[in-house]
Amino acid sequence: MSSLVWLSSCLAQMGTLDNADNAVDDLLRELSIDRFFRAALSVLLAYLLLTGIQSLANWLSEQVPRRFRLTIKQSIPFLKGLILLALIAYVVRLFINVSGPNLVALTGTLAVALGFAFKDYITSIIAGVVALFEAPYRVGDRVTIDDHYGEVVSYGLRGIRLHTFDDDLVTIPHSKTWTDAIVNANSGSLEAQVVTDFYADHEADLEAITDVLYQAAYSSRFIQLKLPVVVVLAEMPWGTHIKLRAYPMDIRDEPAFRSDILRRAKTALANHPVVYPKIKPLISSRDGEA
Amino acid sequence: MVGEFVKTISSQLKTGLLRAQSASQISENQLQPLPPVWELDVWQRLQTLPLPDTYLATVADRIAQAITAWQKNLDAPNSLVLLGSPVDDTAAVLTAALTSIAPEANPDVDPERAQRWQTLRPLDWMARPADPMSIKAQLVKALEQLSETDEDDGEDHPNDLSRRQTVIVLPPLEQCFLRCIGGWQGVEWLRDTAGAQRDFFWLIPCNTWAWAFLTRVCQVDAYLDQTADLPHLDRDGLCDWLTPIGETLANSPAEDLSSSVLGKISWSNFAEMSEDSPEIARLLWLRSLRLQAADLPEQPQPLKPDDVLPVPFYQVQPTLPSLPDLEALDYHLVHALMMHGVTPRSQLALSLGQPESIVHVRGQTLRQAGVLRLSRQGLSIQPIHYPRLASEFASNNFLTGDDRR
Repeated sequence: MSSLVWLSSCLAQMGTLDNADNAVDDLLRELSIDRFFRAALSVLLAYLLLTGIQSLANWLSEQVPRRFRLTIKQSIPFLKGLILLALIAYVVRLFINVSGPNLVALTGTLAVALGFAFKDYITSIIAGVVALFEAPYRVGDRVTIDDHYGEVVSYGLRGIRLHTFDDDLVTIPHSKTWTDAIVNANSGSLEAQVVTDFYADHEADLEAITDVLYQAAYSSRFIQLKLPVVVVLAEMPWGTHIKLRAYPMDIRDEPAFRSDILRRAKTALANHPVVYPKIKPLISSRDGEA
Repeated sequence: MVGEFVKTISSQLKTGLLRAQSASQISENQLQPLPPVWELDVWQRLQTLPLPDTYLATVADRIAQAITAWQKNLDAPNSLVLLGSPVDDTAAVLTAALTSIAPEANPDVDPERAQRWQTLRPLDWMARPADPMSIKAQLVKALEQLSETDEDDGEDHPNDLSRRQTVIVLPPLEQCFLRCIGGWQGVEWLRDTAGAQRDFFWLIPCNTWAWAFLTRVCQVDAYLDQTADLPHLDRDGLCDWLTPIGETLANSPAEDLSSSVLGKISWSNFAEMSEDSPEIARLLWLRSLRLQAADLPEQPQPLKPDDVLPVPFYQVQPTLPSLPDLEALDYHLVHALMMHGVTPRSQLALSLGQPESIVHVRGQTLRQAGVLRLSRQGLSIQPIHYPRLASEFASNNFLTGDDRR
């Protein structure tokens, strides 16, 4: 009797294996050289398209009037995303029989596999897709992430690339958007406020200095005259911390703009009797907080 | 911005169609531009061509209207800023308009428009002084005698109107400042003085780009609140103004104009391209002249003042020249010239915060490309390039003359 039960159990297990084999057969399409060739061709085509779009958009954005530069640059990630999506859909359909049950089986398997093997990579990709719509940064923006400040020059599958003032290229994964603060200076527009710090002694003529700073800003060839210029003062134990807030016409000119204002102001203030603090402030960070 | 783009495209399409149409009459391949010697002669004649009477009359009416209102109403503005593009000689237009209504120069002038005031020109310079920091001192010195009379008690009385007899004509406002620290103190002083000296009427020519800048940095529009734009030269005005000079160049007055292409250009397209500015129109008209290749002499001789061209000439639909590729500093250099008008290189260097040698090199390059011209007073914009430059600056986020508030 027990032998019969064991036999029937074995037969049942063999049936399950047969079913599983059938399921895999249903899931995968017939493999052929032609399919591999088409897949390779589509990957190559997608690669060429991605490279072409990147190069064309980069070139075109530098040729058109400044006003359209960011619009063109910002279209790159969407176009690249579309190409990748089309490629994945095509390759999956080449090798896999996409039906409802198959899709469930496949995504379940993939979720487990990717969850263990490529967790961080997948997190970054998903964060990248979300960031496309939430737009904490776009190509052409000036952002600060961790201690890195620069222009977003590339928006990849896994992360972005920042071009810093020191001409470094910093790669930052999209997954940073889940956990870190993203400081975006211009958020898609050409202009962003630039703060230039000055330090004056308690005895300095603040009215005259403020007047010189306004004129220095308005004189600079980089300034966006359509936006306001503001000088704000803060009292410190060692003197007065003066901040000049103004906008350059193009955020790319930020270092040149700040240098131009400083040079003009310092030249003009050289004739003033008392200007700079007698006790030097301790500068702790790049934003000039003492 | 999209409007500008569509306007440019439609203008280019129209010009292309018109050129194709004229090419069906005479092949443009057979036509050549004037030789440089003759081109210079025709250019000099165009330069001496006085502005149309109707154009000057419009300006004169506007001035007379503003001054009459000031003489009759205590609260009327005591200044008028005449605004023109950076390539228009607004000061010359102002002078010509005032002359046209001066009784001594024109006894037949309509009594309603005739001058009933005394005109003073306390500053004789038309170009910026060599030391821009001395502008305020020069203004103060020239205008210090114009203090209020002693019996003025600081309050307005109807009798004050009788003292309103003096009109002060100032140099172009763009020549009264330089964009650098301390560079527009003179304009600030002028602004305050004009507001305080209400017994004088202040006539000030200025270009729109300088006005837009000064409005932002020292709020001149709050004090000098009455402005008038130069009138537009429309299609008919341009045709009536320029066609006669074409006739004086034709080989024989009896020549049948229909046998040549003279005058067969689209004046509405011409007016659109010249943006209704006489200075741009002069150059565009010059660019429209052509000679048949077979008629071109080997060594053309300069023309005498009243000579006609010794060979038949034709007109084709003119086009605006393309802009060369501009570098980053070129934009700032050209923008500074738009704002300041004619400016020497040393002052441009001071304004741009760049060494004079660099400004010299870029200025020379732009001059060779035809964008700038050089005179004894300094560099300035070549008027024919103005329409495209203005559009280029608007697209590149610069403050332009259209950004006046």
